[in-house]
Amino acid sequence: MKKLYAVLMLLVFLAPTTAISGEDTLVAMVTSNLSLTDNKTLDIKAIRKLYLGFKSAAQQKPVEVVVNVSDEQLYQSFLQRVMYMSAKKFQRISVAKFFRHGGKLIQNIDNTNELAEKLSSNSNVVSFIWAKDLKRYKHLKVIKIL
Amino acid sequence: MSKYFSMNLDTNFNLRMIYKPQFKIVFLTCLLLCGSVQAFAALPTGLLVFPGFSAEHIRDLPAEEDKVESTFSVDLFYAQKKGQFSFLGEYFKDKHKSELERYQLGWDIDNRNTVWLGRFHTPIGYWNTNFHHGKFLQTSISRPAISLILPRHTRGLLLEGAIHKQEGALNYNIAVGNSTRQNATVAMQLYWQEDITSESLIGVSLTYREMTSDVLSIDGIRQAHVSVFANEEFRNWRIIAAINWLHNEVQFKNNQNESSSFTNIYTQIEYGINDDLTVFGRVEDTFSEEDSAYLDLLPDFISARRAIGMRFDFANSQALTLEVSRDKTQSSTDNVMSLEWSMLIQ
Repeated sequence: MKKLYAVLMLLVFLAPTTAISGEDTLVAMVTSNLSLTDNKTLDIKAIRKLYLGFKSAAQQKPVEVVVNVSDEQLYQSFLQRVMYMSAKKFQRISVAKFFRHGGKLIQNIDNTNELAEKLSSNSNVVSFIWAKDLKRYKHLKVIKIL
Repeated sequence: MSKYFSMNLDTNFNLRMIYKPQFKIVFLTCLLLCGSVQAFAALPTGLLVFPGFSAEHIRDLPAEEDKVESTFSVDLFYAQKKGQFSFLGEYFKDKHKSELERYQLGWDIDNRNTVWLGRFHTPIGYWNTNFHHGKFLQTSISRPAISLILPRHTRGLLLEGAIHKQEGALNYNIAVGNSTRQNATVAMQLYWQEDITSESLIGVSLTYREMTSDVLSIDGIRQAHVSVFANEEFRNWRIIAAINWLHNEVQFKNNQNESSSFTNIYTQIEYGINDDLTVFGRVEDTFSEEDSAYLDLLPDFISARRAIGMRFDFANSQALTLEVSRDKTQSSTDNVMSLEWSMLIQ
């Protein structure tokens, strides 16, 4: 009985871990031009800064970040893993910053093919897709797998 | 305050008569706008629209009079950026005013510093530059009264930038210019963010201005203003607080000058019960206002306020807010109940 209980407990703890680390739920931060990030992968904080509109002092080209809203689960994963905030808070912060300083408002794209096209036609764009979809869009370069 | 209220109603019957059609209009408008969100979704990139409707019921305690005020408002904001150049414009309209609030042309000196030319929000305190007419962006309906009596716009030059240090940044705004009823304004705002990806900050603004007055016996007013402010956000809590010190020198035409100072403080505390529901409260107080010749020119200034309220976010970027407050001016104490619908269309 104790063994069965131990196995069940193990399954309970392992089940969500397996689900989270499964390939189907990995998010890939992508661009078509890695020179944007000096051919380096970016850490989560650097990606969050980009999505909050901050530039590094040495950044030569302006980076345009795009939010992929084609899949609600993907968007929520991005918010949890990168922004650490809810969709409403992210919207409030983005709009408040735009309202105060001007500049460019972050674009939302609700179609992955359209997003892939934008990424390939514009070398300054950064966005995110499911890691499993990387096989379909081979021209995209990975900045980070989350 | 009296200029805001055009209707004087003596009986509850009249109040009901006024409320009924107004709320019908509100609900119809809300429904229309909700249904039209898809159409609005095709707005040009860079354009934000902040429509709003607010209704206020004021009970003047000494006079025991009820007053009702309601107004629709719309704020249009547009910004574009091409290379190193930026444009920003904002127009606001309600039944009291119609004004081109901001028009600014900006040039990026580098990635972190921009110089602006045009009409902009004077960088004073926290409220003026963060919310202003973007009603949907602020949690409460009312603004701290101190932010309403200070000249809020400047025409001239604005230098805006930040000095980054590790994860933090010292942000600065320096403005020089003039405006309607202001011959000269010099303002500087500095605020420190420990972590630039967080909204928490602490700052100070220093302003000197020379103003004119409509009062015939007054030649001009010189004003020095210091504001120390903070916005702290942790978990579901948010605290906005400011201490304002104003020194005014009112220059009369008979060559007599009257100098006086007063201090105003406010603290707003917000708690997010969940993603859609936020409760808030704000306390405002003014000290040494009795001796201020400057405040004598502003009899409607709310020197003390206790406000509580609740905001409910729903549908696609819409919010309903209820606020109840007790407001004290030089001549009266009012109980105010306000209801506001606000929305963001982008």
